[in-house]
Amino acid sequence: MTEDLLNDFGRPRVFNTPLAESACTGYAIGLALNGHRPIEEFQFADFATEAVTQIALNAATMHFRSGAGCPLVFRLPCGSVGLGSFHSQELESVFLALPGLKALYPSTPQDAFNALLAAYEDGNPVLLFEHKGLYRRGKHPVAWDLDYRDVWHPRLLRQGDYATFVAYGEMVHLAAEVCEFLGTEYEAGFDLFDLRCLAPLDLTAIGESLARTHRLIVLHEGRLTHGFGAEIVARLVESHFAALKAPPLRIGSLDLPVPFAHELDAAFRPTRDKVIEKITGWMT
Amino acid sequence: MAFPPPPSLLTARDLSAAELKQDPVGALLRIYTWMHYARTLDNRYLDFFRQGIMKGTLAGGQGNEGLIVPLALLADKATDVVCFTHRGLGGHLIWSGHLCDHINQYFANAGSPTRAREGNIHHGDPANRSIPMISHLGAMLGVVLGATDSQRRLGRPAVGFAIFGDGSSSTGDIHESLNLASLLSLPVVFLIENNGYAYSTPVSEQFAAGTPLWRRAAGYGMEGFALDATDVPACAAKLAATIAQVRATSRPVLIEVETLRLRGHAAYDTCTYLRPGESEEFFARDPLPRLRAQLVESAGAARVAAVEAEVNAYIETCVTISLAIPRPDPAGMEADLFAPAQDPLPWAPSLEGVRRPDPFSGEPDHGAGAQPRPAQDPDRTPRIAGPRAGHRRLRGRLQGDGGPPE
Repeated sequence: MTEDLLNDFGRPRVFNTPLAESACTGYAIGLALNGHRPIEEFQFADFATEAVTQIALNAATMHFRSGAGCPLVFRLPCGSVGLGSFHSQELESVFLALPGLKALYPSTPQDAFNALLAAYEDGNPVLLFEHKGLYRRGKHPVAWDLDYRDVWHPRLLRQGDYATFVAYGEMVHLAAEVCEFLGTEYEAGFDLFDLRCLAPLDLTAIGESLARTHRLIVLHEGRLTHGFGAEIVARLVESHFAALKAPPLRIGSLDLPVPFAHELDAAFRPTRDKVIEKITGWMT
Repeated sequence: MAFPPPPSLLTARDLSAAELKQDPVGALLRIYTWMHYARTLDNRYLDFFRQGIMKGTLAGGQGNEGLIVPLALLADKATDVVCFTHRGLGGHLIWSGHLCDHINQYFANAGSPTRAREGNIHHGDPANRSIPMISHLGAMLGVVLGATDSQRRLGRPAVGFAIFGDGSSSTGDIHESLNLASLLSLPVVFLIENNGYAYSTPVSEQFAAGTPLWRRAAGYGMEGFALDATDVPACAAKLAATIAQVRATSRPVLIEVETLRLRGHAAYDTCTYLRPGESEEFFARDPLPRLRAQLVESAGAARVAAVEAEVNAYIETCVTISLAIPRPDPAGMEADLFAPAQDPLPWAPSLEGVRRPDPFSGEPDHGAGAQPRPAQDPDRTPRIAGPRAGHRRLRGRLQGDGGPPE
């Protein structure tokens, strides 16, 4: 992840740290306050829990309480790739329950590139969630995209009339497969959105879609209870209650620690077959 | 209402090691001036708390002035980095800002420098490298480390002052930060304000007997020692020497400062957990009256009284102004959660190149790498003035590994 950066920028700017997530995050905050733009890479998002005070209480409140900008990027490799409870978690709803953090969660190499630029130039602490399953999902060319700031907003991936379907991260790919299947087998079309930006949350286009389709599905890998989908659904129901023809459908992982064995992990989190089953059950 | 100019006494915010040696009376009188100023203001705040017009965890620095005042006077306020604790009012007064700003912060009124979003001691001056503390004091150390390193990376010979208490000395952040500062060879003075209590928990219930905190320095390969802040002249002299040493060597130092907490944890603290007579013992060790007696002897009673009268009058003038300032307006809170959008960074994309020159070699870096580069990046300007022992050593060690481990 840092090999080319090291070659390009050298050891003074690209360096290892001791396993001291809290002090090192504080160190990054100090650099940011004095005019640098640090990027902190956590190896596994799970270990950012060692730095919750620094991220969520110190950096995230800085502008509100002092007027000082704190431009920081936290790269958070997340998601389950069969590594068990402590190397697999989706922590977006944990961190975003506390105010003052922006969050991007790309699903493609181009969006990951754009998100890194957008996060880096922002004047605030930005969580950059990177699903580990996407690191090796295949190589794609990445281009300089003048519209890289669009990553702060959802992207419409496909269009259809049956329902509005929202996903982010690796689940976007699963959602696309499911839409393909349901289009072929059930002749049901979906407006599929890759949310991309979790905070600040922009649901304008998704709301407009919902006003047309009247049905809503939200899919994420994070656990269902207090999951990020609850916030999306709540907001959209508040704004579009009268437009709904069906109860919104939330799909997420079980309310359990992330289990290790792949058979258990497959039972824990959304899979293609389970998502199809949930949606078709909901459709009938 | 315009803020009144401070008396000339309170425009002298600096002190040098040379002055301490060559003009000890003048130097001590300056220290006394700021100590008296801080003490009087802290006590005035206590009055306002009791009157119900100051709220919250109003923690005072009464008893800690013998450390914080000489420290702030000796620091280079144009370069250094500090994070004061809730015992550091005197330090805030010296570092920056007008007294009315400071009082407004405590009243949490419409003139508060934090827009009343924080109260009391939870302020600072980030633009001048005084970092506003959160209550988790251990967490502030890493921030001091980063801002100090930032100054050094920009070629400025800064020293950082990372201050915490006997209470926060038990938190993991302290270990992490001492280790990191030593590893990176950061010029940071770590100061433990050991006043004997973490709120109501005495040090005897915080760490094992016979394990003075300064000895922990040895485990990090740094110098450590104890310092008695109730002996103000000696404390000031040792601080001056230590700051000069850290500035020159860029090696961190850990100081366990024996200090006092005369008024409990905060204004609401009834101190019922103290032994009978313990509070009186604290006051008997209070350095302020002793320093005053010494100065009455050396500078004359009239001069000392004149200083006090001028400072007291200034405080009352500013209090009157601050009391007339209206309560804060909630408007704008939500808009200020995030820093406003800035102009885009001047990206200079270069996606075609394959060559990746070392940006520190002085070679032009046209066509380098797949990352768009900011055209102006402070990190890319020469910034390390003089040797940086820490980074050289770190690089040397890692290069010795036969290459980066990534």
